[in-house]
Amino acid sequence: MIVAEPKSLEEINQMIDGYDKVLMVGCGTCTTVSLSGGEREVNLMATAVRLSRKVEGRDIEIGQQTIIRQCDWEYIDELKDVDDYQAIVSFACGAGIQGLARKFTDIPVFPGVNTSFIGFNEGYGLFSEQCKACGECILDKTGGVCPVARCAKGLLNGPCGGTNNGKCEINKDQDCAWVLIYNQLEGQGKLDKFKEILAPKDYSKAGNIRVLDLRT
Amino acid sequence: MKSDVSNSTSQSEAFEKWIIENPVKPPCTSACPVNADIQSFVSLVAQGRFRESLDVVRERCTLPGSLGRICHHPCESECRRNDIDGAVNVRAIKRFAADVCVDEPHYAPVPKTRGKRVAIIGGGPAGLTAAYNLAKDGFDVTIFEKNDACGGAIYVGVPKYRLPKDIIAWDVAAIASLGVNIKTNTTVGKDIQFDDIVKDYDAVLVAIGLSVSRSIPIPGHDAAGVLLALPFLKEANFNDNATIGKRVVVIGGGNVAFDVARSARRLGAEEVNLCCLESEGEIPAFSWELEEAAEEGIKINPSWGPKEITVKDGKVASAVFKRCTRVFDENRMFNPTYDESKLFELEADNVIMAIGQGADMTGFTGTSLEVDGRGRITWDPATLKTNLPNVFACGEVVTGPGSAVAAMKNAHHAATAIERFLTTGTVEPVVIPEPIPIGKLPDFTVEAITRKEKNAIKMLAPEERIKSFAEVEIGFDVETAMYEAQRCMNCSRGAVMANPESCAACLTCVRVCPFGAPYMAEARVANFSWESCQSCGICAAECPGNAIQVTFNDDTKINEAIDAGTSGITVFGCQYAVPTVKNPASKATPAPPGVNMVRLMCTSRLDVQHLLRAIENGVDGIAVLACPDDTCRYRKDTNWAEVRTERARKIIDAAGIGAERIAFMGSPGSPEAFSEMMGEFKAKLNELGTNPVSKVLVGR
Repeated sequence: MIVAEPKSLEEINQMIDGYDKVLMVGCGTCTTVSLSGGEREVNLMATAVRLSRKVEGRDIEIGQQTIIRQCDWEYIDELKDVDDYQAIVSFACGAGIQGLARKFTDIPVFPGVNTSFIGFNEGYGLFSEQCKACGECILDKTGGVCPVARCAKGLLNGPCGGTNNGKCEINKDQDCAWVLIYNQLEGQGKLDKFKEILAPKDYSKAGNIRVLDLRT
Repeated sequence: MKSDVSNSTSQSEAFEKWIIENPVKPPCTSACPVNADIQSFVSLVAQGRFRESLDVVRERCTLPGSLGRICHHPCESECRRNDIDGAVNVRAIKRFAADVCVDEPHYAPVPKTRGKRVAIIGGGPAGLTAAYNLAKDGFDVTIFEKNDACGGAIYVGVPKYRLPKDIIAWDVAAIASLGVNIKTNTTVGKDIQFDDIVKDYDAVLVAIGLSVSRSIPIPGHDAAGVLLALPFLKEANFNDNATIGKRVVVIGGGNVAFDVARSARRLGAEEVNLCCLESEGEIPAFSWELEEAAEEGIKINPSWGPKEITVKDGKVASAVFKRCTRVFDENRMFNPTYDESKLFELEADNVIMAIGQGADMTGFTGTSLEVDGRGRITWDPATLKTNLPNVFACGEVVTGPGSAVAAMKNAHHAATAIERFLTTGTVEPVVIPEPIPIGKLPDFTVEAITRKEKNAIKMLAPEERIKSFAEVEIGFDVETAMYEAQRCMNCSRGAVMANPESCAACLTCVRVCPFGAPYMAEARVANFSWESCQSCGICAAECPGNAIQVTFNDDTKINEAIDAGTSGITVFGCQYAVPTVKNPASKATPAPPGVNMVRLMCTSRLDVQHLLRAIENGVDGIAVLACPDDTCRYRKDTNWAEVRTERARKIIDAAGIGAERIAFMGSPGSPEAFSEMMGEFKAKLNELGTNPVSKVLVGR
């Protein structure tokens, strides 16, 4: 899942400063699950914006709609009366925000969240990054633990000299990905894989402007 | 179930709607013969809203003071708290609701808008219950009662030590206040003729109960000193100079037999023996009657059948019993067998027969009312109608002996039948939907529920009890009643998936619930096991899709309460957190001036959205009152109210309103402490000035 975090009220207020009719659009999939852009968070931010405008003695009308996903045209089409608004704040990931921007070209679309990472839901309200979307998955060689996402240095052949009792020198609360890889492979009796030198990745696969065509 | 005193919806329609709209009810309501809305009246007592509680009790249990004392409370046997730390003491709470309101005015008469007259023959629990319903439905109701006061069996037969007469009179007065005409000392067949009633009234209900004691034709049964249960109990109840011999033998094992034995003890009998056919485990009286009788020195002799009463000088000398080897046959039919070789003799000054009752049909002999070969009224249990087009019957006269509350159930049905007959002119079977009881508490949930010890009702010591007919039970005081009522778990008012299209299957509800109630149902939408759900509301306040509501405390109701405050202070608290001013007339907890109360099932239901809504409405400050962890009825792994209060504080601070306007406080211990707490908070808010988003400038 794509994980995001809500932007601050201050930042959103700056973005919509010149507008007094704003539509806030929640996304019912990833950002709802990551507790950052669902119906609840949209309502909280809309209320916060109204409150801060009232403090300033200015009015604002905020519409609120949450659709299933903002990264599908069909769901975006479910938005109603968008033309009534001067600006849109999207609480989807970057893909969704741009989806709205592509659909409603005459209206500025602003991000309501910071898209953070592809992550795992560790428990209530706790998310951890697991994948960099590098385009060339090597999890088969690393015991199902991704060093690209979970090693601070993204080392393909680790660990580095900074590994310390299973923790990372960058952050002592962070497991060393390469120790995890070692332990996992040892448990599976596949430590021979650990000796395999991984070749440099083809970073062109993580290059810009990727389009994936699965139609054929 | 609350229904207004109005004629727009009949009593039976309101009740049916209440069942149909939400058929899954707590086990107490399902077990209750009249399906009383137990949870609501218990919850109102828990909140200190005593008069409202009493009115809810009376809707189905029309004699709250009396039934609060004598009901056999099947509700408690089924209470799910039995699996934790003992059932909620529902009967004692019901009694409390009546006792605490004893000086409250009753009702205003209900306008007789229906233009139809109903006669009820018999003012016992059944007749009174029917009268209550039909009067509230706008009919002109008259009760014909042969005794000097209404109450029937519970007036004449139930001893004062269980049910004082003034309590029955108070219950009857409440029903009379609705505009019911009560004609006491009016015997049908003597003072007024049945066929005249049938002609003069649009509908007639025969609810005469079983008022004649039966005897057993054994040798000596007609000797001096042999008494029958009901005349004896009547004497004990109403004759202050009543006496009894020193040695008394009671024949019978039902509740009436125990009433007789215990009354005899109070009249001065030194040796009271109760003999019954049934073996020890089969004795039909309630278990507590056996215990209390034994405490009072009554000797219970099971498995003995009466053989003869020996007579000396024309008076009872002894009662002789033979061993009863079996009461019921293979088909569970009453068919006792005896071992005549085993005899048991008890010397006695009096023998009292308490072996059952029959109906007194003398007032109906030779009338148009049809009876069968055994003298029983010809009656259709489905329509509750007799052979006559406008005459119905209900209660023990047609159903046979049972509990008072069972007779009341039948009377509710009869009132429904009569209301429909007088409205439509037709007679149809009365089909009332039965509630579906919620299932047992799963083991996991039992473990997760905070323990809260049960309060038993106190009783006079046995040696005190036998000295007089003083009431043996001592009702709850206010504190005990409220504590006990707060033990109710509000079963089956829990979380529902209100907006399935907004559910992202994110599992947040599953993760935050301490009781294991939420689960992912088919179609990847969260659902809730009401067996487990404790209605606390944590899940609803955390759901990122705003997809969950809690039946007891949904957002519509909460937002209405929030919107009542547009200035001053809004207080969010557990419905039990804020101490009440213990005023029985209180419709709601009186709050200090300038304070708007929003009561939640638990402060875990408090949503950041609720807090921001109140601020946006213009209140100057918000106080969140959470119970201390050790008194909270819910387990608190996280203090959700505190976490959410903190988030709301941050949001309003960022909006330029000032975090200080929202304060998280503990629960005050008393109304005085609450007023003081609010006073201090108000002073602090005064320093901050008016909420900058307020449109209303409030003078302070």
